[in-house]
Amino acid sequence: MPDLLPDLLLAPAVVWVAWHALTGRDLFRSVVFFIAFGLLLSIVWVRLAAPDVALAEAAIGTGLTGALLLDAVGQTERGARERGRERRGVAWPTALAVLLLAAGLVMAYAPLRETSGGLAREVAAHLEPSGVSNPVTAVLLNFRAYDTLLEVAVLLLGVLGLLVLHGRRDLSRVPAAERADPVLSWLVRLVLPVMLVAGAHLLLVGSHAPGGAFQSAVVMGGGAILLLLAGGRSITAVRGRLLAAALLLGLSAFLVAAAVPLFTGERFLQLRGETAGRVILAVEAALAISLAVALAALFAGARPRAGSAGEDR
Amino acid sequence: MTAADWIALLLMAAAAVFFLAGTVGLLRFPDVHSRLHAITKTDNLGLGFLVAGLALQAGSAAVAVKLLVIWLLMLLGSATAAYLIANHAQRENRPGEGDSGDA
Repeated sequence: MPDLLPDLLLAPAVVWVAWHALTGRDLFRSVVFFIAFGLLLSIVWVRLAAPDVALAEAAIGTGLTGALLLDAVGQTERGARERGRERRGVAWPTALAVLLLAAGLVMAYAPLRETSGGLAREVAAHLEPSGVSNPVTAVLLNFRAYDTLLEVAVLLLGVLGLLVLHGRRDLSRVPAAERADPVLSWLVRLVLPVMLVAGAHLLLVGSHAPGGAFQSAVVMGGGAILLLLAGGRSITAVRGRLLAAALLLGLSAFLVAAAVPLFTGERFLQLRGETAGRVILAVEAALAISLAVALAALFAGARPRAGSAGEDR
Repeated sequence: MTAADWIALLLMAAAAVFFLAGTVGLLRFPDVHSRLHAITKTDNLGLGFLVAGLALQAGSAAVAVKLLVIWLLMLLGSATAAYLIANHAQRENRPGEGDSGDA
């Protein structure tokens, strides 16, 4: 029972915070609760023994998504704070459908737990020839590399869609913060090198401990966003073709690594042998750079144009 | 439990007390500035106690140093954030807001 105590406190807290995020009095309040929800969720991942996911959730859910949402709230009229939202009743059909889905998932999952330990044993058995010793990285970049490849493509499509929606060819007209606060500039100057080193560390350590390309990309992308908010040029200095090249670097490296085995008599995306570890690291490095640029571009691309009526944040 | 375990437990209990005090201040103080004051100081100190307790429980010196770095980064971050929020509230001219809000 004492083992379960954190979980017994955590589960109702997660539900409570999520409820307030959905039914908050105004948008800003909802966003703050959503950020808290992301934080609690990352603790849930730790409790479920998934530190890699917890790292990603903490960085993205609280950091990046929080920044995006706060930026969006700030760009709506000031009235968003005073106006609040209309109180509607609970959407009963949706609630019922969600409850049925949850019940179905629990009923499907419950018998599985007793019969198998998931795929952990198979992964552990094939870990040695995969090139890395962190099972999560092995699954992401070797056993299920197809999924990661397509996920990266989807993320790039998202960034492309955002740029198209905002009518931008690149990010050169995103304004730096109007009033570069001196305290924030000082902090960024101090902390940005730390963030870059942390990103590199997460990337290199991902082959044998929790970490990896995605976590590293989020930390470095966050650094670029911070620099943008502090008045530096950062992602907006990556212009035109350089932006396209940076975004495509990860996907291209991944595709090249996937196609090379075709010429050595193996199958597409088959990574095996002594070179597997090195190939995975190279692909991860390219992915980290690409994804960092993509995440920073997601934030910068949604900012108002220079000279338009936007809040200064 | 060894002596180090007891000290770590005391340190972490002190951290819990500080966090609780900060949250009570956050909920009960009348305006933005006093709430910031309460939460920044107590959370920084509470995290310091927590880090000290965890460092005693850490397996190696490397982990203890990492925990210390986390605390220092948090000090920098929360101080800057508090300054920015206070500055923004000042510019918006909302001295005695008076809404303690509901949960």
